[in-house]
Amino acid sequence: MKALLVALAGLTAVHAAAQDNREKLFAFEVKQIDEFIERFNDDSASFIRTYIRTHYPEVRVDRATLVHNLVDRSKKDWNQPELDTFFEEVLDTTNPVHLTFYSRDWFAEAVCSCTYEGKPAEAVVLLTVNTDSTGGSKWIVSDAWCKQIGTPATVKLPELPVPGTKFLNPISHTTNFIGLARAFRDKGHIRDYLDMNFMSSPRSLAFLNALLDGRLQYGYVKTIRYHFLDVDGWVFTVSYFQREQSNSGWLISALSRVDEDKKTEIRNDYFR
Amino acid sequence: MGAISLQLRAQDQMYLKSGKINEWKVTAITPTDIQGNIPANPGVPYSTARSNVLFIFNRIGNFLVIPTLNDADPKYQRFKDNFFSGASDAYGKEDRIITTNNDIITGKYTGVDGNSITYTAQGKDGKIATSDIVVIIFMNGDHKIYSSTNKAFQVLNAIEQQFNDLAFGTAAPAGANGPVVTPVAAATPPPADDKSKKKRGKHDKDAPPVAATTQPQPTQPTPPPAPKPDTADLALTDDQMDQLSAKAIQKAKDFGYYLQEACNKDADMDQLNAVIARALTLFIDDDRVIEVAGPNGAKVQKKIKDYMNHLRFLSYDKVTIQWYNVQFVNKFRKGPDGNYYGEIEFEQKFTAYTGDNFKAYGDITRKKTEVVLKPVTVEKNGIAERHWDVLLGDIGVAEIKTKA
Repeated sequence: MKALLVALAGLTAVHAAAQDNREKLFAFEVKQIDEFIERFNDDSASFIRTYIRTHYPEVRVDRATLVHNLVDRSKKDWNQPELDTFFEEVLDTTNPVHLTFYSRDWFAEAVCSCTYEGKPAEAVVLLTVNTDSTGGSKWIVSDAWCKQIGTPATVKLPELPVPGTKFLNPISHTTNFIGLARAFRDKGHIRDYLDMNFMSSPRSLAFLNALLDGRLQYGYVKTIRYHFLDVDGWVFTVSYFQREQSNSGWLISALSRVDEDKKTEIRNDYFR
Repeated sequence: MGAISLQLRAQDQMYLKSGKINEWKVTAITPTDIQGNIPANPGVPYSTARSNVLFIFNRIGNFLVIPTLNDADPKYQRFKDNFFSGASDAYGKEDRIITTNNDIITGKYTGVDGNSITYTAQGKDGKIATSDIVVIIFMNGDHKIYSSTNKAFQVLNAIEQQFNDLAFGTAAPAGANGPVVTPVAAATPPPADDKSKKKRGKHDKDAPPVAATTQPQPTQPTPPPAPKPDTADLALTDDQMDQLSAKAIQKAKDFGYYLQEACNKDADMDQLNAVIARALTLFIDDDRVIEVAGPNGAKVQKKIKDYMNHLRFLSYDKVTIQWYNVQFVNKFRKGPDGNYYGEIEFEQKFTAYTGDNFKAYGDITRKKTEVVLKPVTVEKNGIAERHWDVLLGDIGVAEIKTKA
């Protein structure tokens, strides 16, 4: 505990000195979800570890410090005992919890700007990481819906070309899924970007039909959140906080205790 | 169905008693353990006790139930063999719907109707409530579980024998007893009358009887094998990766320079076209886009060429674009095409002037550009040599930091 306090004090001192320095803020900001995962796992090659090693070799930072700082500190209504239990379980030295980018147990929720029948609308697109046996990976769309389209009682599977080889590359998230616009425009290859969960969900089929017949025009991604189901007994959400503070970037914005039945329900509903 | 198409499918999915799902490439099932690897971490062998696992689906839709797997029984050896090296008769042709009543419907999934899915089987349309479905195994090898994992385990366990007979043929000489018959009897089958009632369940009245199919089926198009990545034999060492990362940063800086050139209002069209042509050689193809922050936070995507042309015609006397803090912030990740994808972040300061150098507008945006490592072939002294090159991809807006 003492070590942790010393480390936190050291880091806070570093933070204070860095307030007016864009470069330092850039270093401390959790700039992308990959970096969130690296810090959560305390990857020795992470951007922040390399930065501290280079610029502040005297500062010792442990995993607890890094993980505690992955939570949105501006949120006042955290259930602190619950948060403490979460930290305890994640940081348990005998059975530590780690995340992996290649897990199927997390997904991106992209809120997108679009137009439906000529009027501004908002759509939600869910994406998961899909890996193959060569070690390659890609993002794939597992669900999508648009409130204005609704979910008709009957949705026919549209006739689509046989899947080919187009894909959203595995770092598409870093550019806020710019490639989605190209994917949704490319009607001849659209099936390549969709998984079977998408193809068996009424709301996403309604979304797809609206895209294909031109009622829905996709625009761009407005915001992204990530939802993680990887930690036993927990679901947490990671959102982006843009602010000139060291506690900024991709941070945990919500945390819930859930049992496996609830997780199965979430998986079945959204991305499996 | 070539080896490549199998290779490039998703991983095996191992459903654990805990409710979790492991994504592995399962390589062996020993009397005590299940062994495999994770492609993203190929050097590390993984194993888990069989007692942790309920069932496994592989990437072409074969499944194996683990708790009842009896290594001494040849029947189970056949299930294992089918799982590892068999190809279901429906693979690439038809979907299979497995119901909570232990029925197997072979047909084609056609859509959704309220809380039901619709399908055609044996030329007839059918409908079944999703609450009556345990799993659909799609013709492309994907599967979707609709029930709880425990229910799926119970049903898959009950139908495993019949599924294997149906999908892979019986061990007995083929054709002796005519078509394989589904619906499949549960472990304790109900009396015949009850069973026929139960079979209908919440199915639509017009639903066809559950398909019994060893009849020839119309051939449907199978997904084409994905092209083999041409990177398989091209090594990429850590040192090369570092050199290519540095080269990527240089290319990003070069693009920043070309942007500045494109803003030069004194340049003629030929000069501008030459600058744009040089800039486009930095990108993986001409289809790449740059995202631009518009009014009210809206974002607009423009092709690189269009964006550079547009700069020249902005209604200011002078425009400057500066790129700085160019940094590599992401590890490269391998894509399904064998290329590697990374990301560079930088800040762009845009300033527009009117009249006597009066600053009319300015902003600083943080941008991110995708970077692609791909093999290229270069001819040297008449000999073709392949090596890795780095090219830029799409450029997105991370945030609009300040008005500058």
